[in-house]
Amino acid sequence: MTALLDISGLKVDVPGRAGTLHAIRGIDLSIGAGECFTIVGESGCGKSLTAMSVLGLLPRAAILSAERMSWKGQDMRRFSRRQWANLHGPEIAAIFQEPMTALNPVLTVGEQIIESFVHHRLGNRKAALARAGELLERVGVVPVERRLAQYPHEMSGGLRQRVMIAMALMCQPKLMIADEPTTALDVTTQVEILKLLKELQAEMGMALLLITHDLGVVAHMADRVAVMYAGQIVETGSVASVLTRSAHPYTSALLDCLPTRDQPLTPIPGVVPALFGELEGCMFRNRCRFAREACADPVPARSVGEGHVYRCLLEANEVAA
Amino acid sequence: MTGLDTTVTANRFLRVRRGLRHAGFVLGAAVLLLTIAVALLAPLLAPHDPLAQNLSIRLLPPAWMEGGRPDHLLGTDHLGRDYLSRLIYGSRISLIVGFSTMLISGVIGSTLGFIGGYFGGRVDSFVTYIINCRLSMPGLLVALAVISLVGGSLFTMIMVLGLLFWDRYAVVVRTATQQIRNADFVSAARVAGASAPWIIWNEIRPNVLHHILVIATLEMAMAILSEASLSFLGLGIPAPTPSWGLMIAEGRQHLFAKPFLVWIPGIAIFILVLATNLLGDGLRDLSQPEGRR
Amino acid sequence: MAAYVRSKVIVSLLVLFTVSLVGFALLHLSGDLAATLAGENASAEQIAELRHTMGLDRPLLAQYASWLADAARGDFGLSFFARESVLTMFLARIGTTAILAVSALILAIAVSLPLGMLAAVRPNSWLDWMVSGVALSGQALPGFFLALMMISFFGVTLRWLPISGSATPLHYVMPVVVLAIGAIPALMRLTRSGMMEVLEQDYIRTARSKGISSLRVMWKHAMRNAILPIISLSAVQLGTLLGGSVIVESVFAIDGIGLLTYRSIQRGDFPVVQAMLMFVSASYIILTLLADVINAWLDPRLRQKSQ
Repeated sequence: MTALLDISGLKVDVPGRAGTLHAIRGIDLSIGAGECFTIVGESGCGKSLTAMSVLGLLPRAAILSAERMSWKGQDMRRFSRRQWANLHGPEIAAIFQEPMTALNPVLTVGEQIIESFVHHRLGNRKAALARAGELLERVGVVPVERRLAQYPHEMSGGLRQRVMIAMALMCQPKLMIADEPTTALDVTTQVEILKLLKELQAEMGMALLLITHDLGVVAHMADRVAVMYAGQIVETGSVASVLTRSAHPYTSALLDCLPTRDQPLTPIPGVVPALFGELEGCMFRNRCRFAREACADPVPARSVGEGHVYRCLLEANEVAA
Repeated sequence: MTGLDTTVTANRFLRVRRGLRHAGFVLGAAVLLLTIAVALLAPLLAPHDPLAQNLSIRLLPPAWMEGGRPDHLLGTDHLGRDYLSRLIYGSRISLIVGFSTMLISGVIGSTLGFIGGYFGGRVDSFVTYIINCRLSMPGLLVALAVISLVGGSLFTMIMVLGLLFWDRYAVVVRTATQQIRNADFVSAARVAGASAPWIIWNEIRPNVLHHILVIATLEMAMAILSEASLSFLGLGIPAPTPSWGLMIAEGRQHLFAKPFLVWIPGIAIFILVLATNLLGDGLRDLSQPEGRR
Repeated sequence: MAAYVRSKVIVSLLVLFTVSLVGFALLHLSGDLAATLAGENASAEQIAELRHTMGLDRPLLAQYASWLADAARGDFGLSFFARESVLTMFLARIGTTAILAVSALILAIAVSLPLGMLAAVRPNSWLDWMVSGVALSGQALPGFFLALMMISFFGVTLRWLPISGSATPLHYVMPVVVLAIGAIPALMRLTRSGMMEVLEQDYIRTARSKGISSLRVMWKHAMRNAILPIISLSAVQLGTLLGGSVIVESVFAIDGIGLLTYRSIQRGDFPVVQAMLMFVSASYIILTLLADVINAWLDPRLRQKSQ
């Protein structure tokens, strides 16, 4: 599998009033063509910033550094503005959490959908409208002609997210980044949108980087998963392996948070630590029931095999016990 | 999106901006306090009687210019009156007009805003209607016409400006009141049977006071400028009372030969209004946590 | 849309009516028009006679009613002073003032919009600080003082520009600049703050993620949203500029309706003053109405609400 996206040692610092916030503290990530990769974690763990880093849309104040950050072998760290613009659309496209606010309220849906297609010179306005029509049909935003002329406020949240998806697909991206695409939607719509995303991923043969806080979504959608906590990936591997043989206490705590039919959910006690100043050791230790003194020292990554890696002093099978 | 990224950018940039705003606030307050002190101590500070004419020393330039005299630091005007003394006494007019107008228009505008914002419905429609009527009237023009008919005096000036420039208070207080009208503590007071005036005064007023203060400073700056403009047009403070606007009007005849007659009071107005605005801007940024205007 | 406009128009007419009534009352109750007109040396009999011939001794409401009836037909009476139709006097001068006010607004927008936008894009840059500084200083500068400074510098010292009258386009340069500087601070601040708010919106991030040029993101996505309040403010500013022409026209001796009004105020020429009051009010009302309609046209959400 050749990696589309290959990142290692990604760090994002945000200097601020209370000192520098180390929002992402060295993560490795690689996504192959056609695969579905999920990043899961609580809000504030840096998963959205990771997505923004890959999109090159970090806020100006944020400082990005990485040992390696490449798209199809090209060094993204040295991308010019133009190179980023060429990437956005035909290579990487994105959909976001809030379909209410992610679409421009004063432009028609049609105008917004065809914009990137025309801008990237993939065809004229007519070709763009034809393609937009096909895609809207495919994602279920019908009748197409009427929908194209509508404004975002005239649609429901679910429809808007479908519009977002169609918009992202316009230039046939190799990778779609979906940043909590269903969080703002009601439950039935969530399921439909996820199902649609999965189908489209297979049809278009694109890779999907899905950001979510919901392990249920991960189980449904992903090939591989990375669990993020406090700016680090604490466990990563194939979904099957990570979810069934979770080796990190945080992953297993997250799994316990999932409501099941016969077990009440168990919330994780404590709060996410503030990521300021010198940060050493496992950040989860103040909430972890297995915490010991050595957890304050740097924790090495350990492998379970088959790409399943976790960052904890415990043996792989200790947590499950 | 966690919203984390945008807030952090905003924080960083606000910190710098706020720091400078803070400096602006302090500077504005300092200049305003200094002007107040000068106005209060005018009889002690002024080297001469501002009304005393001495035609033998007409149009003296400031002391540092050629032909200037050290006993008339800023020179003299066309009637030989000491310019510094007139400038010092002129600050009284600007400040009195500024403060009094601010108070009168503040009471009118805030009352209307409270009533419209608190009661809503038809009452609010009526208040909005009154505000619209006021906004549709050209303030300066009405002030000019009325003052010319009534006859220019300090009292007329203050009353006319005060009765005219309450619109910003009304608009802002109305919106602010609407926003907290249904807050828990207001509803609680209402359920407890408190009267509307009591609730407005005790529950709402303290919570919109910072808005009123901000408008008050901006309105004061506005009033100072209006006084200067009206006096400049000869329809404000009557001569020989020293008002900065009037000084400019009188100095205008000598604009080409003695430009300092216009420059000196003009800069005085500029500094006082700038200081008041700085104070207002600083107040706004300091009172609003997100620092947005 | 039609119903929306209709209801707005009805309210506007009501406002205009109220303003005319209040203006009429203010002008009549503030002082003795007849005494002002007759001059300082007139005897009591002369004043009384004048009051009678002018019809100023009738009840106020009756005077207002006849004024209103005439005004509704486009007749604003005769000037007390020039014995000429107020409307004719107005029409002869309105062009001059309109050119002044409209040019000033265009200049103000041309300066404020790009600078305000750039300041919003690069907060805390030197440009941003310059914009804030210019806005603050502009707000504190009395128009008449600025006008005199410009006259003394550009007109007298450098001799670049004529200092009074309206004979050539060059004559308009200084008055337009003075008026524009009065309108720039508010416009620039609103552009900056509005743009900053819009740039933080999610749809701007969406637009950026589509790979379109940042200029297009700015103009098509951000400006289309940020322009709405700017349109409203521009309408208000144009009304203010018409009123503000009184000062500028009198300083630069430009024979527009501002100067006419100033002179009429000085000599108690009530019909002209009342007409000017109505004109500026009506302009303000029409302009804000127009701005509302344009905004509704630009913003589909408003359009829908108004239906």
